[in-house]
Amino acid sequence: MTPAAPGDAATGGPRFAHSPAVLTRVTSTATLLLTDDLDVPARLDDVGAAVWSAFDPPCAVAEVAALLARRFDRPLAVVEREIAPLVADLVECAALVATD
Amino acid sequence: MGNAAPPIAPAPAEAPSTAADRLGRIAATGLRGARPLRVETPLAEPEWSALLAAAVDERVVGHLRAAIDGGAVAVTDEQRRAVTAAHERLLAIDLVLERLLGGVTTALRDVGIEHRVLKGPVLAHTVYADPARRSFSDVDLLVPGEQFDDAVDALVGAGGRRKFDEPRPGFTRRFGKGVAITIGALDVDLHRTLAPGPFGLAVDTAELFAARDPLVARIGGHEIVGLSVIHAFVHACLHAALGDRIPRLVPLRDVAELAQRRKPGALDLDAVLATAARWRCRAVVQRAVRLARHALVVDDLGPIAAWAGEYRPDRFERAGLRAYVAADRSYALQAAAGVRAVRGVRNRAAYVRAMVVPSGDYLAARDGRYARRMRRALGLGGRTLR
Repeated sequence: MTPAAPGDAATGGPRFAHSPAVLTRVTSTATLLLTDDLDVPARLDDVGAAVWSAFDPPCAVAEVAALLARRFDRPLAVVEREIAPLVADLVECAALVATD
Repeated sequence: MGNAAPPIAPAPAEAPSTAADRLGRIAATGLRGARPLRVETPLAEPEWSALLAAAVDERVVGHLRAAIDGGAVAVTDEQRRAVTAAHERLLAIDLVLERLLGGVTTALRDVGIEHRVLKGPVLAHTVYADPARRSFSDVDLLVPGEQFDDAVDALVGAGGRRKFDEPRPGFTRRFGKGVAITIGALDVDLHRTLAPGPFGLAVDTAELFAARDPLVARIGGHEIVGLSVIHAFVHACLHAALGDRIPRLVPLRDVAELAQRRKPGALDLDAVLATAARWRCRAVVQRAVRLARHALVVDDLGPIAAWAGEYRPDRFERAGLRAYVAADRSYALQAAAGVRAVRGVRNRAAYVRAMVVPSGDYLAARDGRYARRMRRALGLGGRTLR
């Protein structure tokens, strides 16, 4: 499965949620997560952790991008481009799952 | 033995050094009534490296990090990075162990084996405010004695390897504390009861499974069922007071965390003492509470602290404790002391026979020589029967 293309949320694109099977630890500087598809835990830095936490409750990728663009005062298009690879990785390792 | 001196190790014998005192106060970070250490300027070498190494060894790096983040311990940028890295390594291990826990509990459930998860994972997720503060090094599971051998078979069938043989076939399911199963590079401790020796033998294990209010955590999509708060507290005391000759900070913190629980789910002192009385381990609870207060330098452990200051252990408890806290503490000494806790003449005879005349495989794996074991058993027998 691949994440929704930027802008899909506005047209009802897929929403993603934390997999109930994902194991996590959250600290002040990082989020560690582990799924059955990962050999070792993955480390998300503060930006990655912000992306991860934005999917709880379930969200479309474009909604998350908009949220983070406001929070970090960055252009929406830039944020959409920057988070896409991370979201793809999170979906690929089954940390994020489609809810629709 | 007279009735005057409770078998609590005297303070000087376990009095922490300055470094131990500092680590104890760090391990108490966030507890009510804790007197946290103030480190106004970053520690120099080699003091800093020793502190971090001790925090890793005691698995209290999460508390050290909280103390740093809270401003109680000043560090350099480099020291902060080292603590962060050490903490993340422990957390990564916790996650790998939690994944193993999910697989193991599923394997047991699939073959109808009842179980309870002990200590680390379930306490981290149900008792601690933040699971990142409670790291662990293995997975501990309790299974009923009558299903113990089936549980071992299930885990061996799932790729595990039993680390040690039994003194005699069937010994563990009747009398033993449990066995360690290695799965990959990780350990699963399969428990029949909560402690080795007399205090483990005195535990009514059926009671542990009958509790109607177990701690329950959702971990990685798996429902993880632990002990009740009362049983978890008594178990934490058994672990803290008897587990190591020099008590470890994590179980002592578990004792304090459970003692300080607020409603709902607050610790019921009467229920704790009733349970400890049935299991003949009130002296163990007393010792654990006193050790926790001492090592963590924490004043507020609730009404159980006042009780612990006054309780007078009975004869069984005094003799039992000696097997764990004496300078010559050993597995053999605990096993010998356990004779008095085994109920029934036939059971007692079987227990003694297994201790004195173990199987050849067991000897080959552990003691090696029958004669040496025989001498030790005879010596211990004389001491026990006196």
